[in-house]
Amino acid sequence: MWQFPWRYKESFIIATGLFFCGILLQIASPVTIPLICFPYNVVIGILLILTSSSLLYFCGKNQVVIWLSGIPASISAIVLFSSLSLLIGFIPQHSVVDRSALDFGFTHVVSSWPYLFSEIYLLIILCMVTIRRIFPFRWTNTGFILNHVGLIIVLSGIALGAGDKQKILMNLYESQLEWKGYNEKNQIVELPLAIKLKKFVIDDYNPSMVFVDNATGDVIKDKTHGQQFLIDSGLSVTKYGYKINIIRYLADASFFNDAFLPFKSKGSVPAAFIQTVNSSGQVSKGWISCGNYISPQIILRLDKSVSIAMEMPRPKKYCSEISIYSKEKPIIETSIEVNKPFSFEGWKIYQTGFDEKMGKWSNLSVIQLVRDPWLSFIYTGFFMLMAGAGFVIWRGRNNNKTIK
Amino acid sequence: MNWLYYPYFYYVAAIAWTFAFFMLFSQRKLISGIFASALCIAGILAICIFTTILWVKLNRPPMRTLGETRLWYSLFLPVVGIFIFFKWKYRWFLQYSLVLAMVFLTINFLKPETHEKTLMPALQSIWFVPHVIVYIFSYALLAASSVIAVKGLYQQETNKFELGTITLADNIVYIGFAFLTLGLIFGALWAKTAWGDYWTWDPKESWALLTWIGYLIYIHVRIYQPQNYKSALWVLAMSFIVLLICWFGVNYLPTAQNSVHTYAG
Repeated sequence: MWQFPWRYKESFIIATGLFFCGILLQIASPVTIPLICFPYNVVIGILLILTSSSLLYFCGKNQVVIWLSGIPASISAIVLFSSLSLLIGFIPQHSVVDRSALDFGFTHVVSSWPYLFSEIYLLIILCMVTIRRIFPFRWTNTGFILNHVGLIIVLSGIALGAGDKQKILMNLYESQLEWKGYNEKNQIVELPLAIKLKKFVIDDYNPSMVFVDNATGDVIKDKTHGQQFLIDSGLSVTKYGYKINIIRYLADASFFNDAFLPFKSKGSVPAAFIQTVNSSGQVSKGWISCGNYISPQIILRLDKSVSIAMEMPRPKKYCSEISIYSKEKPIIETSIEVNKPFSFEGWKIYQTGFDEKMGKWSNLSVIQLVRDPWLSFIYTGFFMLMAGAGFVIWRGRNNNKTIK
Repeated sequence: MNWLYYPYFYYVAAIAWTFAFFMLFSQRKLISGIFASALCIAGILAICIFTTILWVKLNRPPMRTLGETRLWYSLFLPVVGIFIFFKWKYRWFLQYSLVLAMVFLTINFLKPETHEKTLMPALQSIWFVPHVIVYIFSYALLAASSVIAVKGLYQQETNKFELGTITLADNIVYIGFAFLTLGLIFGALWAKTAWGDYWTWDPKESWALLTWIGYLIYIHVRIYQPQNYKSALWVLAMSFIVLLICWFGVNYLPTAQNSVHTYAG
């Protein structure tokens, strides 16, 4: 062992060594590693490329350099990185670390020393391997270059760019102007822009009709190829020997005296008037409603063991109509919804949530503002990887032979 | 039309594929090959029609629940099988893909799920369909490669190793891995528009990355020592276990509680 050329054994000993060094350091110095910000991340990135290139240029015949730009070292680095990902896959991760217990870093892997070591080891090897293959340039290496350079860009962008990323949550209340938000550490931050929520709109699916076990109060799970019954006027269902007809469905209703009437106002609830007919033709009628933050739930007893209930409607779409105010630009009126963020002066504004207890009458809309200056850099890496994948699909394996 | 009619399509596909499976054992290669292919395609069409109608009737892509992804898997596996059969004449491979597709169809038959029409806002995206289709197609290919790995390991044990086995595995893994990469990136681009972040170490994401890494290691092990078949085959077989954890197992892990990928089903 330890005779050149180094192979799997030596590579894995080095990777394992890095892992345990990381753990020891984590125990000795259990800190949350701070993220690197501009301009230090750019300096580190350039240093990484320069060091790898000059090592290859000036000491290309050195056995350690040959090892660093070879497959055994690559595999050991990939395995080390995957071991840490495995920890993330098995152990729930927390952003707040319990400092009273012995800290191996396993509950916050991404901000631990072993992860940092593994990232550096992987990036150095990836750079060395790639630069060695780029010069002299050959067209047959295109697939290799796209995949490896793409990966370097994505990994370095994520690792080095994380410090420049800002994520701010804002709670918007209807017709109130807001310019403060909470960052990831839950500290209040003031923003260079202000946002006013003009209107928050939820478009719900119709609620579904479910059957409840009277003894336990639990919804009875359908064991057959059941269908979800979305309540609507005219729906007719045969279940448990009963024919159940929905005579009238009201999306917005209020209870007056002994019946629900159409009434659209803050706090109104969905309700349905139901008729049930049993096998002997006996008819009974009644209302069901899912209730909300001010109205109780109303169910209809079918027989001794089963009742009919209405589930809370699920949102199909929720959308905030907002006005954005900034110093330089005129007021912008726009709307944001899930999967349709809005870009404004380097910020992306996302619809995140609302007051779920209030449901569609929520006057709170939670939005998230994200600023990620390295996004286009990382996307370049993504597109290179996609092109590389296309190349592999098109050319197959034969054009991907590497140094043996 | 909904899952209530599934049994009819299930019977058509299952009967067609069972006949095709047994026909492929026949010594009259040409005739049996033609009939088996026809039956295989008939089964594919049945499942294809069911999936299409389900899509139309649900008013959303049927890709949300595990049962729905199983349906796509049962559709793509025989497609991959018949493609490889046409190209390289591997009968055993087509038989394998038919058996596995039937296993998945049967799970859906025996363990039906309530079909839901609702689709949460985060899933209403142009990325939904490409993300899932690319993933399931890749899973179908990689499942195939894992069977080849087991076959290769068996050949190693019995000293009857054929070079063709690992060459086939390589070809399939390269295509499967490329699709896996696309699926992972589509997912990242989608996550960025839906939640504002392309990577959050969500349990499903972590396991998807681990799956990707598994096949990445296989590719590198193969390039480094092309003669060392045994380690490569073991890596390939193990990677599929990681893939299965990613697909079905994640819901049962302690990390699942906060996953954005557990949509029921």
